[in-house]
Amino acid sequence: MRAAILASAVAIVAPATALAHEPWTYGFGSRPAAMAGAVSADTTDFSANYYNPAGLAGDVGLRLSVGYEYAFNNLSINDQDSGVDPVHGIAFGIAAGGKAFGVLPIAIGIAAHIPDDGLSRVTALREGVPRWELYDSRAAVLFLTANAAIKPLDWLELGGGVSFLAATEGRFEITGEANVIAPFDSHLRHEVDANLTSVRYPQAGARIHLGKGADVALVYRHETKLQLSLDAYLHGDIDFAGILVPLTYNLESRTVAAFLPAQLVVGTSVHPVKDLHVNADISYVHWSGYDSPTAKTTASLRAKPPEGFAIDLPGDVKPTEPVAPGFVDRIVPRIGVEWFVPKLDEKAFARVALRAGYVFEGSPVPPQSGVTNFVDADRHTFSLGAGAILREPNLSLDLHFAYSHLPERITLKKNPADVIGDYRQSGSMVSLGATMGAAFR
Amino acid sequence: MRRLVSMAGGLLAASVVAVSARTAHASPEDVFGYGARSSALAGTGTASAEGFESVYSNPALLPYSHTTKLTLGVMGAAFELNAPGRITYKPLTGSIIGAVLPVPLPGVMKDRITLGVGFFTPFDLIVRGNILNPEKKQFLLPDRTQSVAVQAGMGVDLSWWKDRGRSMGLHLGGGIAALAALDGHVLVAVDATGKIGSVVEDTLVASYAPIVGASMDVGKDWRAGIAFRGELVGRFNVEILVKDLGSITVPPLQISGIAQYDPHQLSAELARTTGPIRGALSVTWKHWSGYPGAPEATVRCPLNEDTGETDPCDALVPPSPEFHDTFVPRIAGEYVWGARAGVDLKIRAGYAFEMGAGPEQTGETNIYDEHRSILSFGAGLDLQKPVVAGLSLDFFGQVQLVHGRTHEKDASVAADNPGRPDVKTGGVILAGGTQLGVGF
Repeated sequence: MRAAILASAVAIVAPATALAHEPWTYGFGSRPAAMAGAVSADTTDFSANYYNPAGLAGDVGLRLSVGYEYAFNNLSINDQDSGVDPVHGIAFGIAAGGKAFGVLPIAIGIAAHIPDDGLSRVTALREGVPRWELYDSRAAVLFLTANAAIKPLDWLELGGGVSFLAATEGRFEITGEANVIAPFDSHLRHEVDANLTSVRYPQAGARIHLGKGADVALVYRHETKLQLSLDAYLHGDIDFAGILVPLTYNLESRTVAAFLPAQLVVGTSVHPVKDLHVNADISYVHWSGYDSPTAKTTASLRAKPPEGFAIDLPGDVKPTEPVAPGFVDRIVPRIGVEWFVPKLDEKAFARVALRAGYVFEGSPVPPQSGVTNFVDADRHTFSLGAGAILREPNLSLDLHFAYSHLPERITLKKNPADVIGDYRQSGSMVSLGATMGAAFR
Repeated sequence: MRRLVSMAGGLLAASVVAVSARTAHASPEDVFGYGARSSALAGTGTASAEGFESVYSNPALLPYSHTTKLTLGVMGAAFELNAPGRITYKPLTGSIIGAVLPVPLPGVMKDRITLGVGFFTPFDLIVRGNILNPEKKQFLLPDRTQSVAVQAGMGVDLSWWKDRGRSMGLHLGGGIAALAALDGHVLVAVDATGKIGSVVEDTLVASYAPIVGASMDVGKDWRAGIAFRGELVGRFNVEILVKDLGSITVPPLQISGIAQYDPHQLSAELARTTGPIRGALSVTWKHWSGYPGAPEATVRCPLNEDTGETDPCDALVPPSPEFHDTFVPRIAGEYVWGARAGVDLKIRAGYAFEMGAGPEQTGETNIYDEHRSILSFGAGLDLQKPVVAGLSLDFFGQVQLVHGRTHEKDASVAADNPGRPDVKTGGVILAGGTQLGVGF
């Protein structure tokens, strides 16, 4: 038997998504990660690019940082490992401050986290497939941000910038003849017209010094999501034993992906005694704006066989209307402490610090009693870390370790005949890393 | 039959979900120059670039910048290319971000090391990958400009004497340029319900190319520079595998190709860098003969696991583009007028001849890459103390004349080839931009 496809046009606008990033999930830089991310009022290095751009103006000179972070995900459904990949990559950045026109303190910063197994990885799943919605592939994407900050008053720092996500839209065609009996002799070729597009979303922050004993901060990170459209069109002929059967295939798909909720962070850093920083952040996370990642799809397949030649075609795919995910807003509290070890060899060390933190992230995902299976659970994260700053040269090394506990959550389905059925989800995460820095003032 | 049709539908659906051809690309900087000053000087800069523009032109020149400086700008370009009717290409518009960061080391290392970063970002995309069937009339150049340019570098001052406060002698530098590329897999197979399903995974990956350079001051007013830029390839490759279709076997389909490409380049320049009248003369060799062509084979011959070699097959192989190496001569001048203390006005102009790397299209392909004459001009304003410390404003414009030629088809070319019997090409490219720099 020799069957051939004479496919003449396939036009596709394909979604390629970039989801959340590691700073969101595991922290950005070892010092903030060791303090559970409670640093919005207490950061001036490259990590300020993420936690509070205003902090960039809190120091002068050039600060360079580079680090490596690795996170293990032990997430399971019904006690079976869900296969959520570890996340690992390089975090680095620059913060530079000085005075513009010799008067106005100004600073700039650039920072990135680059997964070391690719800039981003996306796996597309159907709506009903159980997946750890907030962690499965969300963190394995590139994070890139650029910011600027000023210090118009001695007690006030203001900063802002943009972060970037990447998406794809495009079209490709496959044309030619596919030889089913000798497939590698197929005469096929393709065309591509694709764009890797950029999505930019802003963030802004302010930091107020209330005196030597306390700072407060306010940070806003804007929501972002990718509106992806997809259109496919095929028309051609199927050559079956010398009988040509015209065929058309149409597909339209609209997808929202790469959702990052808007966040408003209020933070403080107090120094009740010398050598001790106690930080607290409260984040309002607008999860209720979460759009379903399931594509809205319509498709049709038509063939016009000659009289007397019957073929059995599958029915049209029913239009897909994703179920609203119904996520709910959450308040995320964070607390972090940093204690500088006194009475060190001050000739060698400028400072040695011990750090700890805790954050509770309540799950925004409602009970999955219907057709969707967005798996999630509350998350308690305990973190520890240490850091040392050499006096000359001005180098620093920070280490962190964090453990996240996701207590068991049970999903009960309304429909006893549900294909997936009831299940339990739980898990843990371990992340660790190190960041090196150099400051030139 | 039903299975075959289902397969086609499943394959398409899978592609739709997954084949996000995230490509990357190379170089608007290769076409227009990098930054408003270099662009106004016809792309010269190997011995004469200033500020963040050195990251691309020659990182060895970075240590001449002793002040931290942030530069923001915009640029745009429009394409009027004909073969002989107008082929429409989207105009280019984008933003420029650059920074130089001197490392304030003490003692003998003072002002010896400077870091630099530079970005050019089109406003609405990161990279464009447009790979058409080779018989379609097309110019390679416009889509090559539709991409982010990302560069970072470091320069080291190894000079051993000073003149009028300037370090004189040898400078070395290095850096990287980066692109994004796509690697993906689509598995189309029958699921538990007997329907065609798919599993999709794609990974955005980075490709890098080195930039290394050196400069040497020659006397008090002249400088020689040399820079090498490595090949930068933005490739995407999405493999579609179709399995579990009984007796029907579909070969792996490779939706792949080179979306953006910059060849190896070696540039040498001699420049006068002081005084009211400055200028540069340079030549750049570009290794376009290494260009593999944009399209890649959709079906590839199978690997024989016993022999480790590829078995012969009758799959289509895209034609080689047969590009050749090129040389690009450039000449540029800059007049600096010290209007008053702390105020310098600068007028710039330049010319470059960019050889086309593509051959005459006598066969089935219609891929045009033609010679260009690049006329550039621009102006700059530098403010220093006692007026305002560290403020600069630069403009540039370019008129690139695409030298037309006639592509006459051989008699053996198919009668329906859109290039028959011959095609006369030509056109013009207009570009302009401005940037503002603030030192601190």
